[in-house]
Amino acid sequence: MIDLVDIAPAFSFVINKGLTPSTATYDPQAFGNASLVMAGTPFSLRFERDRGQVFVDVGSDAVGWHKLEYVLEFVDNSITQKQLGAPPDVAVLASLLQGHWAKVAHLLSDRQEMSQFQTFAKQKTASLLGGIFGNP
Amino acid sequence: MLRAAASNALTQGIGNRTGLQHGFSWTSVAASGLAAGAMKVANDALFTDVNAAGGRTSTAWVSDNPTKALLASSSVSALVSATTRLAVVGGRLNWEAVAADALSGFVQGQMGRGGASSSSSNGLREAELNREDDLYAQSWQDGRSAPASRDAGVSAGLGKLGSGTYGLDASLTGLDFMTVDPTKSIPATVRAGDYNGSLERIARAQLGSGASQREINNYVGQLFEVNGIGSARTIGGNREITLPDANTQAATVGLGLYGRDIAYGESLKAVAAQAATVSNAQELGTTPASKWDFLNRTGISGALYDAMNPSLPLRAGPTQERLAMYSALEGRQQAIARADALEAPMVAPDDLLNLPIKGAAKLAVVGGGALLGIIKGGGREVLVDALEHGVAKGVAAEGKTVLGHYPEYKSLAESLSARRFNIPESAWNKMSEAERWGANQKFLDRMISRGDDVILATPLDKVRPGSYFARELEYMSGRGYGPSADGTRLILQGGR
Repeated sequence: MIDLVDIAPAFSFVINKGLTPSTATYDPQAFGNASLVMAGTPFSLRFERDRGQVFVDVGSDAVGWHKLEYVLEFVDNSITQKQLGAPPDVAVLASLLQGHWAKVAHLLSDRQEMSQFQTFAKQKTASLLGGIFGNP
Repeated sequence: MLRAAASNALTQGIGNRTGLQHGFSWTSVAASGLAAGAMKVANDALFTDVNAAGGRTSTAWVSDNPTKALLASSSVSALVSATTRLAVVGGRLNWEAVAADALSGFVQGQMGRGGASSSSSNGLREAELNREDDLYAQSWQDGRSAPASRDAGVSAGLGKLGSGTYGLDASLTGLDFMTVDPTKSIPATVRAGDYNGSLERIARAQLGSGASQREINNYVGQLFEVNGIGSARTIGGNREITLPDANTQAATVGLGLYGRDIAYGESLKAVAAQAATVSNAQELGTTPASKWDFLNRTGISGALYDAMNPSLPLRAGPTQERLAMYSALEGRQQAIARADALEAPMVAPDDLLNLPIKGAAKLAVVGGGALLGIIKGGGREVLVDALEHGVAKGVAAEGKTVLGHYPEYKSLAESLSARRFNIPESAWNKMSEAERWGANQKFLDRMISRGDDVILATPLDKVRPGSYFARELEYMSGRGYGPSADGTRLILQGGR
């Protein structure tokens, strides 16, 4: 089973937050792709290594998963995509999550704020897809 | 196929009688028969077309590329044989043995093609025969029965392997084969294929381990003369070889002919040794100097290069010329290595066996993969050509490719038996960012050129910014593709 230290060592601090390894996969025959869920409360983190790039989602299977970079941008509008990088820099994500832990926890537990976040996320996605396929 | 199964049964019977093998393995018998059948199916699928008369003739590609075709055919045969045995008997795939087998088949085929009257199809046929011969030789080893003197008599008695016993194709069932009857007398003939086509092996088997080289020489010379053989390298696996007896005169001209047989055996030994050496990729080193040193020591790339470029032999000429040729070869190798990163050829043997493709397509890819075991140098284009040849024939094209993020792209591709971009971690981690995207891009180009149905495993609202998947979508968009109305596919905008 792949460990957090193998996939995203910068996030080791989440162990002290009470998150524990849950499901994990690792495929050395396909780029070394891997996934790991660190489960806990008030939220869980899902790490996915896809062709060497590591992505982080926040949420849970029950309430859904959200891109951590979008969540961070939403809870602190001073955070920019340029600052996070594309693909997001894992160390930067880890550092920002550590500093915004309480805000992220609050967002995921507040239905009204989540609704606003989903609108924000849709706009981000539309912008991304517009950049890829061109705006209709 | 029947011959192979019969040979194996015969072999095991002798092994049991001599105490070298305990028990009789019907599975081994079946494996031999099935492997021979599978080799034929694979080679037919890849290298022949059905003609108007309903028979099979070599494809135009084979005619145009006789050396490549022979190498590809040998590789396919070697791996199909090994994997068939693996499927029936079990155990682990010995990749190095497959490589050595493929090289052996190639060299034998090359020698068989040496005659002025040889054609490419003849060469392939001989390669097929040689592969079957190798299979029979393998049966000896698997049965742990040394090919000792045939002092045991045999006769044919019929047995039958019932339909579906091994869950295999119906056309491969109903095998009849021999059982041992120890009451019969010594045969006057032996089958060449049982001795890998080597008259020396026949002599050693007949005379036993105590025979002197002089006795062996004379015996082989007699075999040449009694059987009217002009060249030992053209003996087909099916040929019955009449054995000399007490009344046969001492060999004369046959002794001269035997000289070639000795050279033949030595070349095979050298090839096996080279194949074993080249399996250690680390020996190749990373610098041009270390690679050149490796080539000089093993002759692997040189031999293969020379076989494909007889007018420009790598290992001949002054040093500066050779270095120049090597540089050219090196450049080509890099290009081919990049191409290799595209699809199956770069994956590990186990992954090859697990590719989500079927039938002849699988044989094509897996067989092609055998080449990687023997070609670390300038011959990978053979593999690429062979695979593309298979694609051109429609045997390797599934028509569906899945794109998306991990893990959903993998599971969807497997469930649909569709293509997916795949490179093992060990190779991926050694590639630069530019090489990674270059490989990815070429994968997409091939997908486009095949006109595949492009299926998206990840919903578009889950695309991750800056990811390879996002980049793939952007690349496809630049080539006129856009999402379908339901977002599950990429389609050419304006209809297909």
